[in-house]
Amino acid sequence: MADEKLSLEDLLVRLEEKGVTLAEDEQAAALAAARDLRRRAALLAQQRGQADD
Amino acid sequence: MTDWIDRSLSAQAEALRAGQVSAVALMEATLARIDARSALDAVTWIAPDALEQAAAADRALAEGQETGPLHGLPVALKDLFEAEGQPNTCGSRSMPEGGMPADSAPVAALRRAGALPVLRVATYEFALTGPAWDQPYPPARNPWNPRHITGGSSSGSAAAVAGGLVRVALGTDTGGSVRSPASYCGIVGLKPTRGRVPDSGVFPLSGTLDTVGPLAASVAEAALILDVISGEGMAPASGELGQDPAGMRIGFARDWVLDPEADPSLLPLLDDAVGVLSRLGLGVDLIEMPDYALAEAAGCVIIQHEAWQIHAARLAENGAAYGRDARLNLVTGAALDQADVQAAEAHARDLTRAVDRALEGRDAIVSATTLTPAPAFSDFENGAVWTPMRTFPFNITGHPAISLPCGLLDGLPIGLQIIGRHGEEARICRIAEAFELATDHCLQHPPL
Repeated sequence: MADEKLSLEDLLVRLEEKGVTLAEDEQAAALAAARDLRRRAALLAQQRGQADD
Repeated sequence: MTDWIDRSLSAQAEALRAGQVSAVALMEATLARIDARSALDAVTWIAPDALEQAAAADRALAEGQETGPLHGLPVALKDLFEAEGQPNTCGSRSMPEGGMPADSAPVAALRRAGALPVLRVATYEFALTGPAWDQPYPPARNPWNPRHITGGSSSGSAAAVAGGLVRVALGTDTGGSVRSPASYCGIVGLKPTRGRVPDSGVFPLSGTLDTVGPLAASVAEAALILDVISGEGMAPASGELGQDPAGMRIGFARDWVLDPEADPSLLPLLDDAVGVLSRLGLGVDLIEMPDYALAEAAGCVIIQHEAWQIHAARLAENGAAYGRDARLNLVTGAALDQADVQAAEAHARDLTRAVDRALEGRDAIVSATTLTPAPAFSDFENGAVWTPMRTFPFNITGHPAISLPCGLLDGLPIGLQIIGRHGEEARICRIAEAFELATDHCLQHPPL
């Protein structure tokens, strides 16, 4: 199941793996948007889990 | 001479062949209209040799050369389509300057049909999110009310057609980017079956979901353009135009409009639209559609994952040149895991089967395109805002869908969406054209 609890550190590490950095004043907005996407992914995972049950 | 450019492409082509008007005169009228309505911020680039190209078209006609159905007629391109000698900024300051070396597949098809693709129109940056004010050009404005957005990402395409600058413009639709601006601007937007239109040379957002389609002043013109840009062996989208739709059967996805985010006046408008279709002799069933939020979630996961794959290296190299909202949008893809993508893809397969089942024994599904008319620019002052639509599922399932005007809400247009079986664009165009001719919604024009 997708994990909705994405930390800023986790997001920045994932970006760094690709050589991408964010300005400090963009990080909070990026995290909020990424968490929203993870929430959607979690919704799908939950539905798939129910379908598998 | 400007009256000719307000007539259909077929009427203009016929007048050209009959010598009643010249391609140069049509181009001059188009350029004058663009200049007079420059406040729309729709057109971002005009070929310096536009008039010479029109003159060459006139010479070809005079010499009796074989001509295509769009001979000598200007067409606008979303600033995402490569065209020989034209810049392709994709609405981003991160793109290299200069002309492209070759035509994208849709532009090459337009040229083979004789069209003059001499205008480039605004797009949201890389077809991602908007409106934004840190692109190479300002956001296009809604011709019905310049304080409102056009929707996107085919923003300039919609503004150009609704604003009377051109009869048709090419757009791309990955989650609704042809249909939602068509709905917001009161024109026709046709998203074909996935894979119908070859898209090499069109900057991708999501290889899985991207679809090239026309935005047009009428259903017949949208079908004509789609037939020109379609790959070989496709049944013509215009093949059933003019045929009586009586006896056809539609499913009304009314449940998708029963949403707290929907404009309260939308449902009565849609009920009226379905009433029109019923009076035209179509059978109507109320149907239950798959959960919209799940479909939207699957679409978002697929788009953000694929867009991140496309842009990560570019962001690493030149991220500061991207607009803020586009950059923030793209980096979300890094937060996804492979399991998220697999779940989205599995949902897409289930959704496709569910929509296929809803279309069993029916010619089409009808619903809203967007749940509200175009929001105001002021709603976006603090960044990107999610606007409620009903378009995403059919990018995921690949079914063709057309949006056409079905009325005004507070002086702003809104669209009816008609969805068909894979490869059956002709059927939804037949229903859409019958609706168009039975109502006066397509005859309403913005107060310009």
